[in-house]
Amino acid sequence: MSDARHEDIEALLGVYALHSVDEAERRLVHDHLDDCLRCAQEVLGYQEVAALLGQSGGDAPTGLWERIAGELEEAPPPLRLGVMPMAAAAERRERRGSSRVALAAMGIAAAVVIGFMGSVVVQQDARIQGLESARPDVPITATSVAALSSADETMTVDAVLLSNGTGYLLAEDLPVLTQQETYQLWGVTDAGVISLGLLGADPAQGMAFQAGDHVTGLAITQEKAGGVAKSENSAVVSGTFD
Amino acid sequence: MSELGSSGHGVGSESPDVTRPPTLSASSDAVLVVGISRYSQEALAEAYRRHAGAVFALARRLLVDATLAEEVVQEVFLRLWNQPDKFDPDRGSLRSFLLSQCHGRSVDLLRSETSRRSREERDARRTAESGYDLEHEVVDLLLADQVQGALAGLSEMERTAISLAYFGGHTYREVAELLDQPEGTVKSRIRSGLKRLRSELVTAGVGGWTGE
Ligand SMILES: [Zn+2]
Repeated sequence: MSDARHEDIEALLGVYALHSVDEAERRLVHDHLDDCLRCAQEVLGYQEVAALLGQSGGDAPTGLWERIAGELEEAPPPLRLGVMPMAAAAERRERRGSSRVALAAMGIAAAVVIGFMGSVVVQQDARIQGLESARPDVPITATSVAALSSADETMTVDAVLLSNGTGYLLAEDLPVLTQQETYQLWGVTDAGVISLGLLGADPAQGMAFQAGDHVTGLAITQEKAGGVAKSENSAVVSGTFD
Repeated sequence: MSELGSSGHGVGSESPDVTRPPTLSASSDAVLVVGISRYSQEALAEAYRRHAGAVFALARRLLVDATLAEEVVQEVFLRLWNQPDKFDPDRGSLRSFLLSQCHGRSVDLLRSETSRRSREERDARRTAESGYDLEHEVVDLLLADQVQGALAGLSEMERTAISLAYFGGHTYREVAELLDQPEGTVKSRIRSGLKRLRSELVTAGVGGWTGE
């Protein structure tokens, strides 16, 4: 971006934060903020100021929450994974395919992210060691790891993805299902959620799966035996690769 | 959440049907949003409990019409449910995020053709009721002392321009016309006013800034 352009946009930051620009200007500033941290910070500061100005007490109207909750039930949402702060997501992208040494160096940052997410903090090394003992025949070299957990944090499943695309699950927390049911594994990609296969009613330790480099997260759902092409169910556990 | 609750048999033996787990009401907004991203309706309910009143009040202030304001509140919380990743906890408070979404949506409605008429009626009503005192909006707010103090430090032009833009939902070009000032002047006064408010409020320790 040229300096002149930057100055023009800077001059719009205040009115942009107050939604006081026209559509063309809104788009201009919006696009700029993706690339310019300084301007993005300035806008966020103004939005906080605006929030203080616009802040007043009072209750929401009665019955409104019930209407919102009703909307949630009417449209069962598609499978989705937990959010991460943007910075962490970017870091994760950079780290994909990193060596185990690099992974250990990232341990502190990863632990902060996991702690922030309110997840059960599991040391990455412990996770990999657990996997090694479950599958001593598999050499663990370059990996991405994911801690999948349930929304209420009572269940966790660890996953390790090797650089060759083979992944392994440590799924001991999952309760045993009836023979009419199965767990199904899903991979999250930029293009959407894809099935990575059925895990059965009682997934074995160190169960293997195949996933390409484009898989950024995993989720496990509970389905009827035979599995489904597209899940209507919420994830039993889900998580993204560190 | 209901599916998770029922599939979680044998894990936590204590009642899985608690409407609001004790931890949730003590959770930070950031943790709530993680819960929302995992389809916890309880987490959304808690976020609603914390912020819906303020969101509704702002929408109503802008739109006047309570029914429209309720629609905006509904949209804002459904959007949080459907796109929780739009909120980045590293970059501001959830309250500020929701109010900004609410403000943007309300302003869209104000500017849309269909509600142009109600806006004219609203402005007419205000003019009739109060002579449309430009500072009225800001002055009658139930603001914290620090915010009041910070506002008092602005020039009249800054205060008025910010008020017309933010509470009136006007573009800065409209504000320029209303105040009979050049557009560039209005633009820069709004920015300088916000900048001063920001630094005063940061100094006073108000607001949810991080890393400052
Ligand atoms: Zn910039």
